[in-house]
Amino acid sequence: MIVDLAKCVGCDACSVACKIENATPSEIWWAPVVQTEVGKFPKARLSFLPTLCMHCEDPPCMKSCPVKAISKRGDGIVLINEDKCAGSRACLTACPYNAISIWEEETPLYGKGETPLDMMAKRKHRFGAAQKCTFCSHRMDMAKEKGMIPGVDRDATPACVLACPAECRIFGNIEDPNSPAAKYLKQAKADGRTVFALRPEARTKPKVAYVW
Amino acid sequence: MVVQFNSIFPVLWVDVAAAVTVLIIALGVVYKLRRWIRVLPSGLIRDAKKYIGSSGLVGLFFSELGNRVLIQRNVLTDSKSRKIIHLMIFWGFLGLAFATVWDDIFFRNGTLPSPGSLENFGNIIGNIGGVVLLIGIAAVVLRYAAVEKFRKNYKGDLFFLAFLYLATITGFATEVSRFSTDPFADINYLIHLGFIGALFITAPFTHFFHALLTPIMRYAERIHTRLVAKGADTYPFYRKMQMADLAEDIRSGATPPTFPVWLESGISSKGEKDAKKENKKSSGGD
Repeated sequence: MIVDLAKCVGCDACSVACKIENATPSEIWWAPVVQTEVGKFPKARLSFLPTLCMHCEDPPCMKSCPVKAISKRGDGIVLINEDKCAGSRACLTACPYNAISIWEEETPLYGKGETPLDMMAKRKHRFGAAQKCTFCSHRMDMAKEKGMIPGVDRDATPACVLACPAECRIFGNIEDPNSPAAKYLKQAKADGRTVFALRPEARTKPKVAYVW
Repeated sequence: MVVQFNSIFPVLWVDVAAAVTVLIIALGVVYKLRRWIRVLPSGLIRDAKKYIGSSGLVGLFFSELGNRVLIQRNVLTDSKSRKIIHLMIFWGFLGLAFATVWDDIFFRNGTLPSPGSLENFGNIIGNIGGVVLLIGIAAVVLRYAAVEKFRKNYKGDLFFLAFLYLATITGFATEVSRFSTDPFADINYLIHLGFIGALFITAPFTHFFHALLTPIMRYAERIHTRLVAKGADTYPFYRKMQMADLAEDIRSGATPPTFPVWLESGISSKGEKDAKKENKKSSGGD
């Protein structure tokens, strides 16, 4: 995934889309947008950083899990098997991007009683288990079945990418030079824009790149 | 008649066998934790001493021990029944361990007081613990039989449950044998020791391991959270806010960006080799 920081306006549409798509529990956000204030008045501004699981090529979470609940698929997506997870939190402390959450508190979205989203969260996720962004792997699976192209066909593209009104998230198979992500990366480099990965010293080879 | 087990085989043999078992367990724990240890940041101990201090670390340890281990405040809060059963197994096991340690300290020479005597306090606690543990195990087995998801993911834990159950049952049998004229008292004892050994030796490789691992990890997480709150910025476990600061530093030119060459070259094995060469050329490595 490529995230164009020059386009992000901090609307959080991606975070909300992810929450609805994946029915995450109320206090857990798989794809939050971090806002920081930069500079001083009168030159203060807000800086937005969309964050999510980096689906690293060398994932430390997978290496640290004692029950092997975390695995990497052939397409590179790193997934946590919530049913197998023993809640040891080894992945939580191993991840350099703070991308993994543990569902510890059952807090309904609105006061007392459960909303349909709370009920769906209980059905989809296991309390006490670790969870994180899956790059909407269920959509990738559907893409494979129906011959769709991830990042191009809507149903084969993660919800956060589709929801972004500024189109700052670009998704695709980086090994395919015709994919949107590969083309965007190539164009960004040709335009002399800054393309970077976060926390390179962690040596995880994250598959999310940021562009200024 | 009370069977004196130290007449069957010396206490020293049991001690040696226990020491060997502990060694095997320690190696198993290190083996299982090696993957986590390898991804730990190198400055952890230094930063922990600097930002939290020894007394802070000790305080965190006892806080985790009390809250999360002994009373299990934040454990299984979604289901009261599961929490109760979890506590029953935990405290039942501790009761049995207490009885063993009590016996080993006060009655090493093998002379036991009569069964009903209050001098046998350790055994009373052990018996209560054993009954509570057996009820807990029965509940887990019932859940195992009733819930398919649980069955699918925890096949290996049948061994743990089986060894735990058999160790407890043979423990009760041993105790009955000791205070009767049972000619098989020594065999009961030997079988009991065998199941205990098997339980502990397989511990690092079964669900039993979570009893040791989860408290360690929760303690590590508390240390991590405390380090981040104290602004230990050499420590890699960043809050997302610090990731935003990193990104801003790159934007402002304060930190040179690292181009993700591994993306450009693709993630095929050939691509990875090319990426490594490119990385060495462009930035001297990560």
